[in-house]
Amino acid sequence: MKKFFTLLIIAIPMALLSQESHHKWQRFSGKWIVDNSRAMEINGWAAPWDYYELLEYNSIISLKDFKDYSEISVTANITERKQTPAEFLISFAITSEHASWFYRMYAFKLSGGFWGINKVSLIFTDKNDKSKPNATKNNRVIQEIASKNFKVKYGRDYNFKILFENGNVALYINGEKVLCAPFTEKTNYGRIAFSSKNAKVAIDKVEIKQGENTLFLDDFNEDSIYVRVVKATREVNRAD
Amino acid sequence: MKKIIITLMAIASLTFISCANDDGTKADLRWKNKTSSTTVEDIKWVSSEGKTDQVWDGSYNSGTATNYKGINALAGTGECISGGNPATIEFDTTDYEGTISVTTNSATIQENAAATLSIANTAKK
Repeated sequence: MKKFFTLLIIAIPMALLSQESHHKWQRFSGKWIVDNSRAMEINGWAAPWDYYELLEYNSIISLKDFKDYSEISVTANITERKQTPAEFLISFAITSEHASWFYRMYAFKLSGGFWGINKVSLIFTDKNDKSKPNATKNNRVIQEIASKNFKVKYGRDYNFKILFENGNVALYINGEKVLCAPFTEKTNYGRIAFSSKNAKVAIDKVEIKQGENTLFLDDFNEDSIYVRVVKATREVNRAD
Repeated sequence: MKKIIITLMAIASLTFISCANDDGTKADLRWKNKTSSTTVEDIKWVSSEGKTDQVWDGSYNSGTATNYKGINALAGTGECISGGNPATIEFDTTDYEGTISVTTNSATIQENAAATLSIANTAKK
């Protein structure tokens, strides 16, 4: 009997932990669903919060930080343009100085219009005036480090690969080296995220590698997106 | 003639006043932060189609409330930012004011009501 209770005490927390452990991403905004082994943003339009750049998009962000990785790859499909500019971001080295205020990050940004994506750029964004509180509207700076005209069609799967090589960061699309720029940071430590604005997107097969070793893999065979909740509950007085 | 003009002016004034009192929205909604210590930045009322219907900008410390604001989408969900994290507001199905129905994730506000929803607890990951 004692053994049974001991096993029960061990089994219950393990079961609870295993329920939580399948979450790999946090939904920031937009309507993200996991269907047909893909993560899809199905709203298209984005409702900005006017704080840090990720909040201007429909984003999912990894729950874990990564460091010293050499490669990020993802299969992505910009399934439908809603408005111009249609944008898709692959963000990395996302960090916050306090809590979850993720002001600082790098991202490869794809932007385009009616006919398709026509520009790829590398951007850096951070808090503008660091003396101001985090909850200050429109206090961010965005720098375009490098850019190139490049065509990506809507409704097609593309393989995007970010490689850190010889002090540079490069974006490959379907194996073609599209953009390369110096990456001057000491480390690429931080979270990764995928974001869209004015377009619906589907992503699959996210992999982060350190050389030949896989640090992270998600093929969205299960719903790995966590939605953070703030509970609105009844206030109960002790006298009640 | 003078009487007609005065009457017309009076009608015009009454019409103007009546229009000024009605902002054209379907109901009013406010939020109370009843958490013990959590500050909430910005609250959004999002329509069931996923579009932002109303925004209460600013920081709301524990014990404070937003102003009433007009909403057009009577059915919707709540979103806010807490500690830099965007989050969905979960509704209490036993404590509501000026609503027709409340489920865990969505609420329907009564037309022309002055409704209040409370935020009492922050769920940490």
